[in-house]
Amino acid sequence: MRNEGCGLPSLLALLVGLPVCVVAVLNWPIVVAALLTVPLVAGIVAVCLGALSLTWLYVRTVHAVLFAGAHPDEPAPGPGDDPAHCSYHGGPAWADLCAVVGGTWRSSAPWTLLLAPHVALYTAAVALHQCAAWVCVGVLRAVDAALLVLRRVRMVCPHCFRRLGYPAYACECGRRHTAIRPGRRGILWRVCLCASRMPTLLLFGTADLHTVCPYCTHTLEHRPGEAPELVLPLFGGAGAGKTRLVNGLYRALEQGAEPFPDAYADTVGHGARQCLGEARAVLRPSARTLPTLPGHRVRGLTVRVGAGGSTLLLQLYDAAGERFARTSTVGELGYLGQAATFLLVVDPLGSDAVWSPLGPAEREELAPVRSRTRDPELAYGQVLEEVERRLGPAVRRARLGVVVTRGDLLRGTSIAPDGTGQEALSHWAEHTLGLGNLLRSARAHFGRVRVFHTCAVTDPDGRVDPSLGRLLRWVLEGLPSAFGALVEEPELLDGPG
Amino acid sequence: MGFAQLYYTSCERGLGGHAGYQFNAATPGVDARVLREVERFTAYEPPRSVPVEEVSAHPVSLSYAPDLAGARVVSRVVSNGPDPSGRPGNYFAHSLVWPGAGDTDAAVLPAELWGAGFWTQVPSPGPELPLLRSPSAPLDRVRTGLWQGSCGVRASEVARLLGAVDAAVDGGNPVLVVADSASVAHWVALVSHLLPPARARAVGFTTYCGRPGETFAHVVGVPPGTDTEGLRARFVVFRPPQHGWAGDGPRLPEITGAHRGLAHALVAAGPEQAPELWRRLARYGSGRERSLADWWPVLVASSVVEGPGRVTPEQWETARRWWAGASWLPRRTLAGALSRFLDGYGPDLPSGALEDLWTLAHRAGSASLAERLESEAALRSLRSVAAGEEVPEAVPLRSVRAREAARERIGTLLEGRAPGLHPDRVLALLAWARAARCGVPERSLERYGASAVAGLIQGLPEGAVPDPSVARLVRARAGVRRGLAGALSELPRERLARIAAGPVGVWTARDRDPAGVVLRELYRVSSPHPDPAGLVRELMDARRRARPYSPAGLPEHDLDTELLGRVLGPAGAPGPAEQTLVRLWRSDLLAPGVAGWIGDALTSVPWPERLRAWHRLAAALSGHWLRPSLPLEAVRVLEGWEGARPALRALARAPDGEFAQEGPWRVLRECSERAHPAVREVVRRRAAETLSARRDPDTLAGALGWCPAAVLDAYADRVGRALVGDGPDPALAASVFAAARSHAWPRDTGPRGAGDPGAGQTGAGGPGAAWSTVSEPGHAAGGAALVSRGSVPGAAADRAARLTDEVLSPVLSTWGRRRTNAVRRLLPAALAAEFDVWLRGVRGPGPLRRWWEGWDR
Repeated sequence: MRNEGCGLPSLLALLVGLPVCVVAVLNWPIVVAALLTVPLVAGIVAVCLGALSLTWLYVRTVHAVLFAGAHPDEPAPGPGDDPAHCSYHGGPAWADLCAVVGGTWRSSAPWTLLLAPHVALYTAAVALHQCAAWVCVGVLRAVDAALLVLRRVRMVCPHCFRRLGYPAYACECGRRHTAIRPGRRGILWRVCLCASRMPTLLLFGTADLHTVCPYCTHTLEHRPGEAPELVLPLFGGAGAGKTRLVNGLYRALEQGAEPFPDAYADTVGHGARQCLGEARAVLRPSARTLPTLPGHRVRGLTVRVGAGGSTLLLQLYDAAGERFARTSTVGELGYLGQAATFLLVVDPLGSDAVWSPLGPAEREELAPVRSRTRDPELAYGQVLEEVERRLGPAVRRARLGVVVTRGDLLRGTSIAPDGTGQEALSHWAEHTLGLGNLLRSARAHFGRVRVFHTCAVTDPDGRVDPSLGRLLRWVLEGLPSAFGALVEEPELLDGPG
Repeated sequence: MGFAQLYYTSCERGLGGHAGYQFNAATPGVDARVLREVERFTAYEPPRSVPVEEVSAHPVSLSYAPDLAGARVVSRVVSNGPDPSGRPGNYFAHSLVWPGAGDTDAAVLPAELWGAGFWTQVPSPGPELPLLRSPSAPLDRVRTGLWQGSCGVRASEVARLLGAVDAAVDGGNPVLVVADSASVAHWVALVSHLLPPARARAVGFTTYCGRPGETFAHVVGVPPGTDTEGLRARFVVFRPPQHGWAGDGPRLPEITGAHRGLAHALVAAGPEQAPELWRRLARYGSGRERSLADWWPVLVASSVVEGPGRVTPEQWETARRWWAGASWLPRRTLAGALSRFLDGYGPDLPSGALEDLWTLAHRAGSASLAERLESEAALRSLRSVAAGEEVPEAVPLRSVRAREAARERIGTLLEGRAPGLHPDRVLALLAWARAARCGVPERSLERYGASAVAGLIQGLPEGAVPDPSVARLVRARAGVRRGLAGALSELPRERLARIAAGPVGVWTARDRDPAGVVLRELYRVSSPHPDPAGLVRELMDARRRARPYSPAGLPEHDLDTELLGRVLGPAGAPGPAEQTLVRLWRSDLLAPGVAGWIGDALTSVPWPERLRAWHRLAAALSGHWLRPSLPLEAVRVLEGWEGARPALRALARAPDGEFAQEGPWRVLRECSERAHPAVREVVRRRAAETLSARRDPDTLAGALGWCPAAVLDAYADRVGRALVGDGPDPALAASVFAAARSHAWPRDTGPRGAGDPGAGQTGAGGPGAAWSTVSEPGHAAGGAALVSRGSVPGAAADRAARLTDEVLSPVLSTWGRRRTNAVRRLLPAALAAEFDVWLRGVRGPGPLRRWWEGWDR
């Protein structure tokens, strides 16, 4: 046995070595070439096999991460984050990339370095995706912002009076999304943590969602962002006629929209419905308006006006006259900083300059309806101070309408104005009503000042006085003409006779 | 002190300095922020369902806010007709700002002010108002109690209302009461009278509100007929039946939480008795309790101590946790409560409760109660351990009383009636005792070992292995081993030996306790020992040490024949006898048979391999103190040996010339012919040994010619064994052959000595018979036939022939040529030739010759 074992290797050596020697003697380069070729070929094969293996490992890892659920868990939103899932471009893409690299490293380190081209390709794809996604985000945001600017949409919360950059939206699950615009949590849609899908832009219909104010969390029923908002504060002394005027303005819009099939003037929100829902009764000549209580919180009364395909959200602010008597209470009226048009409501009977010349019979007749505000400048001064504080130099672009009420009561009296033109009314307000100083001050501070004499009563047919339409036309200046057409004079609508 | 007053209405003149809604008058010193908040808080709108002109139909609103810019304010707002300008809807709000907490007037509850006479609705002509002192509170507990009895609402519903209001104060949905203003006031008063005063003063309410969605009160009243559908998400709506009508209305949601029991208890107590309940609870409260949920554990905890009955197990858990955390209570209260706990619930205390109560006892500073609790806990734990239940790890017992109680209980459990605790339970008890550091009575352990463990061991079938827990227990505790050993020692010796040979012996092997000496002895003798005589000595010593304690089963003597037999085997072996003998002390208690056992070893004819041992035994016994106790036969042997030994010595020392003569052999024969057979046998073998030491053929021949026949037999036997074994010595064979062919064999026959009897005599029965035994060639070896030789030449020749025929021939016939050649080389030339001839004769013709002879034949 031992002999046999020794013999076999020798035989093999002989069989291999003999030809090699023969070849070597005859032609040694061939031998060298052969000797070099074998390891080379083996090396190439090994490299190929290794590359294939690495690639397979890499592809397997990619598949596991992207399709088989081996991706890292999405981190839960932090306390200040929106309660929505991140979109793929908002973090998971990079996380998946890191997971792929990490998984490949774990399975084939340090050979993973040879997968640099693969990883680079993946990284490039992710980067490209990110770029595309964020470009989309930017474009959509820009378009949305441009549309808001073009449509002159400025959103104001009627509860806390703060201007909204963008509303917040409450999901059905109760979570509040304050940054719903395209971003890392979605481009066209975002998915709440409860799996509900929500559009990201007003363009895509976010106004249909449950809108809330991001500051005071009150529900915003007027679908902010869909239409331009016109904030119209009314101020004046107690009993000046603000509440009646608000009802009259609303009723004028309502009546103005009646002839037009596609026009409407609807109250939005419980408060507006409650305050303006009885406008017909309030505007009856015999009706006495309930006072607006200074203890009640001021809320914007929103009226959605639609005409000619356009929509306008008119926010009327009717605060109690007592509020304008004190700086502390005026300071709470934050909506004064959001308006560009103001209405100062003046009771002509309150002024002693007006009352004194009246005859005893007139006084007896008018005494029950005379307000107790003797000096409208007090309210004007408080509001002017607040507006200047809030608007600063922009007050020069604001408009002030001085609305002298109780037109129906003054008709036929000695103190009735001579005409309805602006000049006549201004002269009448300065010289008859004693509002000269006030008007001068107003013209000095506000960009435009007009004087109106309104009559917030309905005729026996229930129609509002045309003076309200004139006031509304001035208020609605600069807006699409369709709105003005709602309150156009009938003769003007019919054209010059 | 007193209440600051505020009047707010629409008036021509007021504190605002303008016409319109403003404070008409106020007590000086009220903060402006309070005024602003009161203005908001008291805003009043008449119901839309009632014409604004019907002032008398407008509800009265009694409102209370616990915190308006830091002040508590109660306001009564009434519709006041048109304002000075003629506009309808004017209202008058008369508000009271609560005085500081130190004022006695501060104790009045807001709801009690309903219907009080001091309310006004007339503006003040002046701007200042005086403080209102001691306002009347007509809606007191008596009236509220009467009203409750006739309200027509079930007590359970009232309890739910109470719970809802309590929850609203803690941030839950406010309660919307759909009822007229007066009813709402009574409901609020009822709730206020049932709640603790501090809690009642935290309940904001309004008996009428025109805009319930904008108010921040906890209880809001709206007139009947108000549409509440849109408010159900924000309010808990309560629609009580009309007063005086008994019927079922929509039910309020049930109180979630155990504190509904407190709500029911309060409702049951009623407005008049509720303060007593709160006073009782206040004795135990920490002062931080606010809601009913905070007070519920206080109620339960106090009921455990003061209540007439026993609380439910769930309530007990609440009470226990509460008492454990009641660190604010004075020690006396804690001690009293704890004492009531133990007296009322002691045996039924849940096991988890004792730890809390123990902490409580320490906090109370009552060492006796702490010890009592600790003892109770320890005893319960022991019960559980004994029952095999899972118990938490024991902690060291602090009090002596607890340790003693635990120790005593453990002893009782161990000494319980048969069949007793299982050993694994006992192990658990011991572990518990170790952890608790209470110790275990050793006496109880002994009794347990003697009863339960011994019973388990005795009940095991032959060869069965005891339960591992039994092994662990016995190994762990000496007391158990002591008891076990003591009980087993009373068993019959054989059975005990079988038990000792098993695991029980292993368990007790290393003990030093006297009680187990018998068991240990039996265990040790059950297995071989490298030094049996040493073992005997050790066992004797163990018996000596244990003897003062008189353990059960201990033999009377330190050494007896049973021990000797178990360790050293039956009597007769001189080696063990000698080894034992040398280890005996005079002080040892020896059984009577011991000397006989040793003597038997002496009187027994020793086997050849025991010869040396027999010599040592005889030498040891010669001067031993035990000699007088030996049997007579043994004494005789000793004497015979002492007589023969000098002759043997002289023989061994004799020079060759004397050795080959008759003299020494005759002396030897004379010394030993009447000796004991054992002596004769020893002498025979010793003489043969001496002969085999001589190699000179002539000396050998002469000695063999004169030696007694028995010696010759012994020599032949010895030589034969030497030549047969491995590595036989050719020199021995050569010397024997040379001796056989020697001419030095004695020729003078002469009369034989006395030791060599004549022909015909048989020595079969006498002591001298064996000495003269001669094996004739051809006779069976070992035969007892006695043959006398008449002539020396003849006898010598026979002896010589025997050497060659009976000793050398059987052996050398099997040797190979090389060995025989070695023998030849050692012989002189002439003798070598003779050896060859003899060898040929012994071996017979070779195969060639046999072939030749066969062919020739």
